[in-house]
Amino acid sequence: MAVSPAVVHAQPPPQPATERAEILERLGVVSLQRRDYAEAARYFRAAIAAGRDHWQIRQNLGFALLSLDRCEEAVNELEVSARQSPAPRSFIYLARCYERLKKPGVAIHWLQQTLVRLRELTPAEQKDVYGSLGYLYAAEGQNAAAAEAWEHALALSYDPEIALRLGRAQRLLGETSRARQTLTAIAPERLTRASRAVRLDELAELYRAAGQPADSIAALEEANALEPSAQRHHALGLAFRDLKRRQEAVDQFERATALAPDDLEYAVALGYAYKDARRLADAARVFEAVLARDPDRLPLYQELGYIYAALSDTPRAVEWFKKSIDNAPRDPRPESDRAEERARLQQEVARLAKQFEATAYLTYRSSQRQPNTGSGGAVGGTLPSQSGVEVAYQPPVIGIRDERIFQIVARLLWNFQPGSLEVDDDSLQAGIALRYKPLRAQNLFVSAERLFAIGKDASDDWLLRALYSWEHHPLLGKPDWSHWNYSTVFADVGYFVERSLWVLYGEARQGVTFKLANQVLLTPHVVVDARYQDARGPTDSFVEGGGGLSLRYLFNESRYEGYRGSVELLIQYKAGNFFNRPHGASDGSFHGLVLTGVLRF
Amino acid sequence: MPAGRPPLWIGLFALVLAGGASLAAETPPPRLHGTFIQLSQAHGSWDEDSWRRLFGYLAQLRALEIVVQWTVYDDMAFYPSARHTPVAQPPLETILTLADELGMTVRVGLAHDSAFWSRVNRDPASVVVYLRGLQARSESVARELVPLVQPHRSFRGWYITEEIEDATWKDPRARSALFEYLDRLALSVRTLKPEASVAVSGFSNAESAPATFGAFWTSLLRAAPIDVMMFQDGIGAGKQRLSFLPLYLAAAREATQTTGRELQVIVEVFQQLNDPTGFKAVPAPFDRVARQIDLASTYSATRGLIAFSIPDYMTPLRGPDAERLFQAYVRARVTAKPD
Repeated sequence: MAVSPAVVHAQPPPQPATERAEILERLGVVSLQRRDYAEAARYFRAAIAAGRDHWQIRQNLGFALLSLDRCEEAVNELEVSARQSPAPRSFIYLARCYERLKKPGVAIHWLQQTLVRLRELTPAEQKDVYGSLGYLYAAEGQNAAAAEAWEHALALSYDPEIALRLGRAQRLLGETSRARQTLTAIAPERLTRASRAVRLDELAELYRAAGQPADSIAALEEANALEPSAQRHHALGLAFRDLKRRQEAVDQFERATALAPDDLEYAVALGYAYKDARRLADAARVFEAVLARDPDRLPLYQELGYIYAALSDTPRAVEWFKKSIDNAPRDPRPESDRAEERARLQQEVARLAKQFEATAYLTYRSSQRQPNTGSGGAVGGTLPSQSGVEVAYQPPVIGIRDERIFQIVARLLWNFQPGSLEVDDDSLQAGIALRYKPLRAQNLFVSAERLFAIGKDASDDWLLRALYSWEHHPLLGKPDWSHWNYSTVFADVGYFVERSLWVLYGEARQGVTFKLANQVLLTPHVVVDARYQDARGPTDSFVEGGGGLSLRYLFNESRYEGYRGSVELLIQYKAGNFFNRPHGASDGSFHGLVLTGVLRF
Repeated sequence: MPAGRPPLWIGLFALVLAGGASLAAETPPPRLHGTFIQLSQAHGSWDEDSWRRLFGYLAQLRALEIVVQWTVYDDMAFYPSARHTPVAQPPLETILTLADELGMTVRVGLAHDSAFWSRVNRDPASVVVYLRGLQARSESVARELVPLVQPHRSFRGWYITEEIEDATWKDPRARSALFEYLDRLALSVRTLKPEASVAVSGFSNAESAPATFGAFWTSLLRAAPIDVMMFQDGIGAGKQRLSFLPLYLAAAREATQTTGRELQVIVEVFQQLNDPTGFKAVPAPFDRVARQIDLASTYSATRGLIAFSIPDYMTPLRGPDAERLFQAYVRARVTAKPD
């Protein structure tokens, strides 16, 4: 706020005073006109001490002290003056003082008082009042009030600096076309160098919002050439990121953080830019540094988990996922979102941290004419068996690397005597396999397995397999869900090397899962499965389908891995047909009840 | 017993005398109705006699409302806590017992984090997370405190320890996080003890205009079930001047009247020293305190003036300057007849 030293008064005193006091006041006024503020203050104080005290002398003393930047003293004099006479110039001086004393709220109050008596001021002073009010309102975040004040100021006389501020306020108010009009009307050469750069910043924001990223980048680069700043490099980084120009985004964010190393926003943006550019180790370094300084940036914990998982640093990935799970009480999102994320993170930890996984299943078919296959998924698959046990070992370090999984698997399969639950010893089949998941995103495993025949009907052979599964059923849904969709697809292709035998097996289920209790899930579903085997094999090729219920109980809950075990009872009724030979009925068809129990842990 | 440290009965006697005097008087001069007690590690070694001496002086001053500023400071607990580390002689039970005896009320502060000011001046997304952590912490403290405060008739309610000022919460996202925090915490402690009122304090650095300050508090009180707004007058800390304080007091009063809440004014009875090494203060001169009291009394209810703080700056226990302030106040506001 500018204060004109010409605005001083030497009116006749309202009270009679001594001649000496009068002379002292006049000396003060002369000193003020000579801009000798220290002398002026001394004379005014002496005049007051000599008994000449009225609102104008206090105002003049206040102004002299303000000019000397002695605002603590100035406000005392000016407040006395304002109490004696509500002169708008005293209000302006008070506003100026309080602004310098870092009390902008009080400055606003005094400027608002000035508006009531605005006509007593010169147009230049009026403009000054509006300009200052606009600035103070903007600092308070009151952009509408700021814009209104600046519009008043500009109506009194055009000022490019005020127009620049108005343009910014209009943009922040969402008045983009008015903002663009205001900003483009400013002649840049009438602005200071710093303000020219600010004008370009504002235009860049408008271009970006209008979907003109190239114009935005050009404006920011021009602004940066005028006056480089971290904020401009950051804005450029964001613009390049939007355009997927990843290396340029990294460059800009690196410059922003170099110029403003304490600004964590810039550091976070740099971390994400590194991640986008697949510079994962750099991203991890940056994110860890940010969290060391601000542990409340919760999304970075799981980012670090995924980054270390991709870097095949499983222990660190697990550590960060666990920290992310621990953050749940501080997570401000709704409980349902938190629960969903917790379940996802627990699955990540379980997947990364587990070393052993065991599955056992047992199937009973009510009809002897039905095929000898169970519902054990990957445990049986291409090898027809009603029951089995499989143990998979995922070795440390090489067990999981960037979503690629390596396992050593052993399994034992068997059938039952027809119509009973007595194990058919002749069917006992063992196998040891090496299994590998080569793709990051798809659940496809390939394996090579040595089969050992224990029973006389079993095989000694090498089995090469490819297994694929896809599912769309969140294990526990969200806390507020009572039911959700259940879809699974499983496909298994096997080649018995020594017998040169191809076998294909596939199964699909579609249903709806109902949460009966926190750990009890019921899934009515329809199922279809099929098996094909080259004619040389001893077992059947068929297709079958039906409906059923799955009742699943989850147990062995762990803080970081969720439910690590489950027991499932599958009750299905299936009907089907053999492809290549009748197995009982003359037309090759069959039907019956299929009961399966599955234990996973 | 050292001179200048009266036993509790003297305080009670003074209370009776002063009460009698007030009955005889037509309009007693405005007085401080209560005081904050800011507990520190030193209080952990106070025995019951020490507390009785302090409460004797409080009774002499007719301070009837005690606000315990916090009961957990970082990890230091001032009650027997299982979750935090209690001081050697946790004083909260003693404070409540003495208040019961003297017919005082006690508002109990929850948990306080010394890093609050630095942690709220960050990215609003981080502030949201930080406030959620504070909420959980204060809720767990309140749960531990309920069985302790339950038997005491002096227990009046809870005090949320975070002080709300007008510079930090300008960003709408940060403001929304603050409102949500206060709403959740106030609702949560109400659930624990529905009859207990909830208070929070605030001050103005004169960063925002009085109207903006008032609008902010109106929004806050509409957003959260806070019963009492305690406005710090800021005179001792130099945040406000007596010349413009009425603008902010009026704004606070309007916010509380609009929303149907109670306004209490915290009268700072200290003078902060200009010391870059940290907060240092001395007792304020009585004439300044008297002007603060007179001003505050025109904006808050009779029972609305709370000192910050009598134990630290206004009893003979804290040295000659504090004793002078104590004596001057007693002469002018407790035993004096009204003009």
